[in-house]
Amino acid sequence: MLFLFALSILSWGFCIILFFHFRSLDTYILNGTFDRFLVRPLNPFFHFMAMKFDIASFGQFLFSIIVFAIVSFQLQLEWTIGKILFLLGAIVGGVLIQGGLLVIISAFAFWTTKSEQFYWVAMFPARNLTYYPLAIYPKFIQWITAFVIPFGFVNYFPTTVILNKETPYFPDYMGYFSPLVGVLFFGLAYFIWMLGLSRYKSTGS
Amino acid sequence: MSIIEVNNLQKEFMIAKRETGLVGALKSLVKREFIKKEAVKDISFSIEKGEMVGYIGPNGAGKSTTIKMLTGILVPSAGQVTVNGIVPYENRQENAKNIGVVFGQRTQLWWDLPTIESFELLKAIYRVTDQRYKENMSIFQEILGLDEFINTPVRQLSLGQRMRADIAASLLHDPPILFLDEPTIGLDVVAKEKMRTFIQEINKEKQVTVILTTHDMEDIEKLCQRMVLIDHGQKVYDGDILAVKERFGKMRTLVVDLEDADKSFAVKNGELCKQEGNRYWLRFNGNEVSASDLITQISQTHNIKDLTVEEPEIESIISRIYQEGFNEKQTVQG
Ligand SMILES: Nc1ncnc2c1ncn2[C@@H]1O[C@H](COP(=O)(O)OP(=O)(O)O)[C@@H](O)[C@H]1O
Ligand SMILES: [Mg+2]
Repeated sequence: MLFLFALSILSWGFCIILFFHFRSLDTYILNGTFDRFLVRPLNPFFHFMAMKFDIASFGQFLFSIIVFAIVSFQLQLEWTIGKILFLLGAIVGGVLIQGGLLVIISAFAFWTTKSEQFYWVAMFPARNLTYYPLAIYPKFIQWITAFVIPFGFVNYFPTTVILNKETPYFPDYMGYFSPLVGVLFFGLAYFIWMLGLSRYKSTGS
Repeated sequence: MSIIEVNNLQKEFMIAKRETGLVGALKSLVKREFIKKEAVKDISFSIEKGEMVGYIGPNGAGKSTTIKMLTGILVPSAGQVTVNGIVPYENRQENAKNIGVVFGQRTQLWWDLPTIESFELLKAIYRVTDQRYKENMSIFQEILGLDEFINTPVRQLSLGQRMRADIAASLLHDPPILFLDEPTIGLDVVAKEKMRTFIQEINKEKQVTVILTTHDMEDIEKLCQRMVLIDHGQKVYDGDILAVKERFGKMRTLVVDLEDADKSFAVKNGELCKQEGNRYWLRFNGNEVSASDLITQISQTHNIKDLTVEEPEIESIISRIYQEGFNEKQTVQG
């Protein structure tokens, strides 16, 4: 449980540094700031992503690293090279999956001119799911978090690998797929975002 | 081929009826009611290299929308655009290298950073060489006086300073084409003048093609030989600015407050177009008679309490062009 939580906030801490401002894409569109990303010789997605590194999130990031260190110390985990590499892969996967969801949510702004509200509805429940072992949820929800919004790969599946736990319904090696799932999910998110961008209407006045 | 070609350009916005709250936002994903707004109806023009063209019209005419299609921000609903041989919305990044853009209403710079750091960032983004960067910066500093505020964060700049910084930033990468959307809006007289001088200089020295939108007639008079006048998304006039000025720009209105109302008030060379109580509006042609002639004439028979002379607004010029047509010397380029 503790490890689950620690891994969750670790990848989240990293994720918000890169992607947190995506949730307010609607504001950038409405006040016209977004226009500038389309008149520069750069890919608008990466330009927008690089525009802002959430400095305020650094605090949370440091905090999450400390929590993670304490937890893994308490659990007396033995860190082999293999496990460290696996952990790094899981973090990359977790960052991409959560970042991907933030990107998808932000893309709603291109259709509805709203995104912040969707953030609160979608991101919170999804994040809360990761605080508990997936095994406690009904099969239906487990299935969704494995294959639709793959938050199971953020921490649950990797944790079961690191701690050698059983995963009901799913094979034990699911955790190894985190980075791949992350890349695929983020790719999908990028595609949706670019699709939204092609419908971009700018703002009046 | 002309450097900018616009053919039968159209843009309509489907404006969703506003739904509030989260339920509204979700509902609007599923089913939405739209109102169609034709911002640009059917506009064509072409612009040659080195020209400086005033793109003018009243608020809401569709000026910004046109500029956004030329810069690649918006995809047209119909029609063709090419800018330096490139279709902007299909090839935004290529197009971006050829153009500089200034939106008077909002900055392109990094709000929280010192001005100089925005320039450094843009230098990196546009891959401007050190050599060119230095040359350009020294020119801009000389004409625009950037030195005064180069280390101040953009958010603390006055509007005039911000606009100067913005126009310099848009020219860092030596674009052959410059789009200026309301570059003098909200500026005081001195700042406006500086802006105009700089635009003129850039156009002359560097042969930059400039499209300038404004609803300030004076900008156009001082800067452009040619103007494209639009209203309600349609082109009303395209051609020599002198012809319009000759015809309509000389019409002024003298507003006088008389001590006593006079039912049979009439003045030679002045057309009485409105009256409210003791206040009279007299329209006159500046070529035929001067305001002081009129005033002398009136003061011989009446006691004048107060008076002002109104310059023609773009709105009134447009409505007169509508009323009277513009047959004489009309040149529709294309
Ligand atoms: N992104 C947009 N969405 C909806 N309506 C818009 C948008 N941009 C402009 N409009 C509308 O189109 C018309 C023309 O606007 P604009 O091109 O900004 O005019 P101008 O720059 O000449 O003042 C206005 O009625 C404006 O409200
Ligand atoms: Mg405008």
